[in-house]
Amino acid sequence: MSAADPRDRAVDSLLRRTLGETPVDTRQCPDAETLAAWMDGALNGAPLQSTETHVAGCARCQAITAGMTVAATAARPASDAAPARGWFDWRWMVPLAAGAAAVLAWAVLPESRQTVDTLARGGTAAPVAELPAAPAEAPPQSQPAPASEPAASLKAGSDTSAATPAVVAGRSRRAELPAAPETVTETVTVTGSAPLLDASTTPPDRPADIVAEAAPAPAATAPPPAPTAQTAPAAPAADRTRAGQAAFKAAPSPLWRVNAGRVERSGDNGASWQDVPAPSPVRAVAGPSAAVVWAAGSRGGVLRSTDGGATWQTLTAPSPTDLVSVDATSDQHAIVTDTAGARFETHDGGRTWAKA
Amino acid sequence: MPGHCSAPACDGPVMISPMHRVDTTLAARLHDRARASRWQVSVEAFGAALERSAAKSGLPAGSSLERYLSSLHLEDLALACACAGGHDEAWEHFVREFRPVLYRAADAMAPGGGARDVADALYAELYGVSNSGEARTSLLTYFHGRSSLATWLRAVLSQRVIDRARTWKRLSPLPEDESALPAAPPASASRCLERVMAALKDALARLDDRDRLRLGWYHAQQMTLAAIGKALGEHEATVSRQLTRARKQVRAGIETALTAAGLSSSEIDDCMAEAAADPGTMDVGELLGSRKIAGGDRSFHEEPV
Repeated sequence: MSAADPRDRAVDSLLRRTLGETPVDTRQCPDAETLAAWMDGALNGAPLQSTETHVAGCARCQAITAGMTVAATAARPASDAAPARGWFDWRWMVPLAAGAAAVLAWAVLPESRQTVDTLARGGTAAPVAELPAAPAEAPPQSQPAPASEPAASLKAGSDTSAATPAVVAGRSRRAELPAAPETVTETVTVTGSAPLLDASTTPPDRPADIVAEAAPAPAATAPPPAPTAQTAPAAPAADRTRAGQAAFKAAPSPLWRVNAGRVERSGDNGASWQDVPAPSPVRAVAGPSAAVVWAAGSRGGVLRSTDGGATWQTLTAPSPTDLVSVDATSDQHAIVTDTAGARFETHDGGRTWAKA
Repeated sequence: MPGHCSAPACDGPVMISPMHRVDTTLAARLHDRARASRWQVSVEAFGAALERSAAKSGLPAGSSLERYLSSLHLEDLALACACAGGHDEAWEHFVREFRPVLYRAADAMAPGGGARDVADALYAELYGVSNSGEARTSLLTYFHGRSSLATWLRAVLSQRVIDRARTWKRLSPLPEDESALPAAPPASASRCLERVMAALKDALARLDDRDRLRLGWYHAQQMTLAAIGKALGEHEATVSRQLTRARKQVRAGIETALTAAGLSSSEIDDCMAEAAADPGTMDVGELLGSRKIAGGDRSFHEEPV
């Protein structure tokens, strides 16, 4: 915070000197396993509330969690670090190549033109020829199981948002590209307005402590191969439709989870996970079908995607408080729960909410 | 059976309520998803670990046990189960994948290498110590899969590093030369300090948990805005905005209290400056801990790690 005002300086000094000195009764402190669960966003309901209340008032637990955050930031593999932005960075070639290939495919294939146009409008796409599957990425550590409701447990029979896994797979690969120019078309509905930042008194960051953090990017050690026009078979339209439908039926529903506020998706039943960029950090996610996924986060934030996470809609907040869970059965129906246990339900894709 | 997971971590006698019982079919499915068979962890043993995790979570009645268990870091849980049971290959895998995590965390927490010994001691406890005549007990017993194994390791390590630092601080001797001790403030300054600190305490108590957390992390723990945002799942700009708002609230609370005490604007300036320069030896009590945990429930506290 800016030190321009003497009283603000005094308040900052008082806070700095006193907040770290509060006496602590360690018998009330959560154990390490609970703190870890809290930091990973795995707590809900009463345990979440009580842990957060305790840490908010405990200098010891604040120090422990601060240490965990520092350690977590330092633990990222080098491949996750922000790439050096020299005048030429080969990583820029990958999205450019992908974009060029997409343009070429759009020009060559009428069906793909429909897909791109439809998706750009945030709608659903008809099945198209199967694109090359995203390459499996070797995780640096053992991969945990899905944290969200398994999509396999919900039937997508009534779901009409049938973006095929083939298209989803292609977009998953695009989502895996390094965090250089984002080529994903994003449909964002801004609800309400955020208060303007008070530039004169905003807290300064600490240059000495700032660690270069990459935008959410997967731990890719090598760039995935750029799609080329040769990978799209020039079969008749009817055959491509049948091939797409067959691929859709054969492919299993993806699994979704939240990992440190980020959405992750697994197409291989939890063996590996890919980061799916979302407009804001989330706390819970649910994927009722292959293409539909709902996410809930702080201050009533609700996101919905109908194309497997390629684009997101920011929906009307049902509650001003933090949301801790989301259940969904389709792209229209979902129930979210806030930290107080209040549940809100929508039947129109998040346009309106009512207490459940 | 050699290599078979049979440690208390996996299938020791634990009181599990009926609502946390995991049927064999579910256990088998999750056992497959966790690829637990590569560490030769039996379905029964893994099911027992799942039940302990459910019991630890305090899953309320009516909640979906399957949904909870599916959200666990199952592969990490299987690995922990196998390591606790003494499976050599599992331990080798753990060493290869997580020992670097432990040491990187230690170096991040204490860049001068001051936490390496803590990491080494922790590493030994993870492997398991065995008292004469008793079975080996691994610290991995206390991992229940709610977080990732890496996060849990950082939590355990951080807890020990912080507790050691706090112990050293309490035990640090007073200076022998009395002139090195801070002089007692004059009476008028003491009254001022008391008023300011009382007002500060009240103002902090009126903040919500998230605000107090951000203030504590930012001011006391010197965390960056980005780190706070990452921990809370907030954008850095949101953290900045919320900190500014909270600071304004605290300041307004102090000013209101001092004004009510009859101080003029210039007197308030002087009073706050004095308090900031020397908080004195007041009993700050639990400034931030004055709010009781609603329904403080020790059931989610396990044996301290």
